[in-house]
Amino acid sequence: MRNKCRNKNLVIGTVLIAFLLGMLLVSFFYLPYPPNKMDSANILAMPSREHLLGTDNFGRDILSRIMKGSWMAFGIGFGAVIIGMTIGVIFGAIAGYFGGWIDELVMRLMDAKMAFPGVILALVMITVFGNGIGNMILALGIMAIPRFCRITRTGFMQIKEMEYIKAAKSRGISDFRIMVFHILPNLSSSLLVTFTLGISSAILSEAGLSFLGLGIQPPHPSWGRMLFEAQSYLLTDPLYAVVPGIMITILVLGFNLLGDGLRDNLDHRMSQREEKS
Amino acid sequence: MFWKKKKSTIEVSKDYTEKSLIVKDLTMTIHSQGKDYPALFDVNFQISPGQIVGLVGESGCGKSLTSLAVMGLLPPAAKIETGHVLINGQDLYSSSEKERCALQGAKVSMIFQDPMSALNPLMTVGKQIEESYRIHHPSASKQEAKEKVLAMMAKVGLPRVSELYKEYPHQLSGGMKQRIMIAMALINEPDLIIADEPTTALDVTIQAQILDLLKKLNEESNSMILLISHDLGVIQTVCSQVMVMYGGMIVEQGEVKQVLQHPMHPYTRGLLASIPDPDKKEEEIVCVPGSVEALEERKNEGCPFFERCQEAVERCNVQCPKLQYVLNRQIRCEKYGGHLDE
Amino acid sequence: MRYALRKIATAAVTLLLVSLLTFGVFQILPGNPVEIMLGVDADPLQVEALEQKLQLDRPIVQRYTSWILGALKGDLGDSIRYQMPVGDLLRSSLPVTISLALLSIALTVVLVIPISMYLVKNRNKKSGVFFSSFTQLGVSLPSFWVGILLILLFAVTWNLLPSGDYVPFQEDPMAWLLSLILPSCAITVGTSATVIRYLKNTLLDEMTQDYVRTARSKGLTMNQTLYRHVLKNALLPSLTVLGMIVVDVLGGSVIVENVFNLPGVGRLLTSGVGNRDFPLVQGIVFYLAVTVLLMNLLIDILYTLIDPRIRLEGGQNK
Repeated sequence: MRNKCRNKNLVIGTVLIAFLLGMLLVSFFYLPYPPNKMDSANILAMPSREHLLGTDNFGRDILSRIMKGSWMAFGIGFGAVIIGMTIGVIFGAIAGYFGGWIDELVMRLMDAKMAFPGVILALVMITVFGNGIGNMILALGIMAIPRFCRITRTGFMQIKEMEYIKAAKSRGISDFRIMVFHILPNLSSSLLVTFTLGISSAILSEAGLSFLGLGIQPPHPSWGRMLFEAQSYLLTDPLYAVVPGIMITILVLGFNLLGDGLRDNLDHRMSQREEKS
Repeated sequence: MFWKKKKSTIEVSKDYTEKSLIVKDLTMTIHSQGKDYPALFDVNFQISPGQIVGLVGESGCGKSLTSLAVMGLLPPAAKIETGHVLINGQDLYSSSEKERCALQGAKVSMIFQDPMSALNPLMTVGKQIEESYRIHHPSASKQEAKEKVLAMMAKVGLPRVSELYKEYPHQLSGGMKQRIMIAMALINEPDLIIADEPTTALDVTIQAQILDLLKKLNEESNSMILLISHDLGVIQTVCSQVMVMYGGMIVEQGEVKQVLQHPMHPYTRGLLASIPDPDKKEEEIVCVPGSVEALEERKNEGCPFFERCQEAVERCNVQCPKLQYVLNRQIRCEKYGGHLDE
Repeated sequence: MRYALRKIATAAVTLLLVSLLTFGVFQILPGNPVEIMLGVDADPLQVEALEQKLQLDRPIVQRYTSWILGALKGDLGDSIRYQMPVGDLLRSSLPVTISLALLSIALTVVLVIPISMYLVKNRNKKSGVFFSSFTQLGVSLPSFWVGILLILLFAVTWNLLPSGDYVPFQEDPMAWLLSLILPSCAITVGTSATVIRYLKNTLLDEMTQDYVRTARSKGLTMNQTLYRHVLKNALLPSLTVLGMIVVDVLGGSVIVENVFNLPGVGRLLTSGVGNRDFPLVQGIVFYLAVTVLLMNLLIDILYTLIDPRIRLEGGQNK
């Protein structure tokens, strides 16, 4: 029963992400129309053979903008999580490995960061640094730090107590080498899970910020931004608001399922290892 | 599969007044990774009023599963293939959930192995005993139930009961928690008590007290006790009858005096020999070589003890012996003849 | 008691760090903050007035102390855009956000327990597995999109409910409730899906505990065991999740208020960000973070009251 469930999560997640990656790849070589090409004769058109998903309030082809928007979603998702993971792993490793007051300080910092609900910290950073893609990635990256920090810290705390690490220490291997070459590789699978789940929440936040008009600025096509624009035309063109939402949901759902599937696999492997020992 | 060959029939008496436990032809499988594995095979035994029957064997040989089967609390993966469990003549597994629940806790109750985890941490111990009473006495008043609980707590040897009533499990010592478990099991004066390793988690001094208590209660109320233990010493002091289990089968059963003083089955002899004896020198301790095979690795034919038996002959690997009456006891071994297929 | 004191001390340290962060982030501005706020070609008189107001000539430590002391007294300075004390602006928009948050939390709590119990009871049936997969979808749906869909269906297409247009409770309680139904539903979809997933797994874990078997051996049915024993044990760790929900709801309301045009703190914050109104953003963010911290502290203390293992810590342990 559990076996089936695990595979189901992983399979559906992979299919959804593969679908979007496929779209991303195609968009590098082919787009039905230039995504920013306006056509005043064809405003808020219904789906037709020329425009499969219709056009928006400037007569731009929605399908092309959706396809081009996947660049933004994947780029910002991966970019932010890579930043968050790098900083989070460094902090978490130091806190978990050395413990004591450093640990206490890092954990309080993470608590402080966690006290800012949702996108609010990102909002503050955008207020200060101004909006733009780079700032957005940085802000979302900082938001992703705590989850990596916590998981790395826990892992380091557990593994540093193991015999082989103590043995390595007694052989005089430097702390840095132990941390990077002896402990960190053990955490790669759980970090992968966190990475996957981190991407989905970064994308969700990006969409939210862009929806508020504070993220990606026009004319760059972003799914959140498209939703924001579509809001004014709910009465005349509901499809315009539905399509970008579906895309965001598929992407977030895909990464969530992938992350859950990977985690279940990991748990399963761990329990098997325990049974054998 | 060999365990499916036999069908069991039993006459269910409609007279539920007589105290008795009858387990007849019980064969059970466990479902694991898409396959059914035999976990209990052809288990037959009876307990009459006043008897304390011991069930011994290494862990993984089916002791706990047998006790859960008698209690009607099988894990979801377990399935009864054939056989019956009759408590006071009522067949546990052909009853509805409602009928079964009416029996559980009232006519048959269980004392679990680990009193530390067997109590709900968020409920006062008094309330936990009281729940057991009130569920079978829905018309009892609160006051009545509480008095009953306090009396039972005192009876099982707990001190300052009215204070203890309001305490939570984590505030009590292991021995006290086990007494709470016993009070909970006895509150409805059940006819059958199943004690699954009731003293394993306790200190040696407390062990003796708890066993004495069980024995005393058994004498007073003429109830039936099924005592599960891997400790032959415990069995010897408390029980009148003993069953030795191996690989989901009963391999030897009879009176404690006979079985433990003159063991016949190679496994029983191995078990007895592995008790450290101060008179013997260290190298003389004879152990049973190897260990119990995991359920999934068990073979489906021949004697389950074949791999570890020092007296095995070729035939043991092919045919599973039948439970035979030999010298006032029952025994399942090639040496004493009889096969299932004959 | 010691447990509670330790929690309070930890919260105080975190609070200090939160205030340093909220204050500090506005100090590391690249360039002149006044210029950023007012634009490059602002009236020099205005610039001078603002510089004076922000006391930029004073050392940073002094400015922090006066800001934090003011904030603790409820004085957060004046908004640049609205030319009003930030405190007053907050006071007028707070009721909207509190109404929305309370309604969403109430809705979440009401939905979560029965649904989780249903999923646990039917976990081996097709219906249970089917509905369980919906929680994964619920977690993945962006709240603002749910909001738009709800407007599309209930307000635009069927014309059943208003799409926002907040009415204060004092004016018309019924209209107040109606105006908040769709927004709180939009928030609840995500939060309840999160909690259901958590509670369901906790319930399943608890069901493998030994005390469940004990309860069954008393003659309780599976249902009775679930409600009398398992649920309370599973709800206790779920308290922590309640803290997470409050954070989620506050974060969610920032966006959802914009979807439904509710004049709450979230709308105020986005307009502050859009106008680069630093004192306003600083004030709102600080207060939101303090609310979250206090909420989590409250939950930690609640634990000590509910869980006998912590409440009676250090009691007679024999």
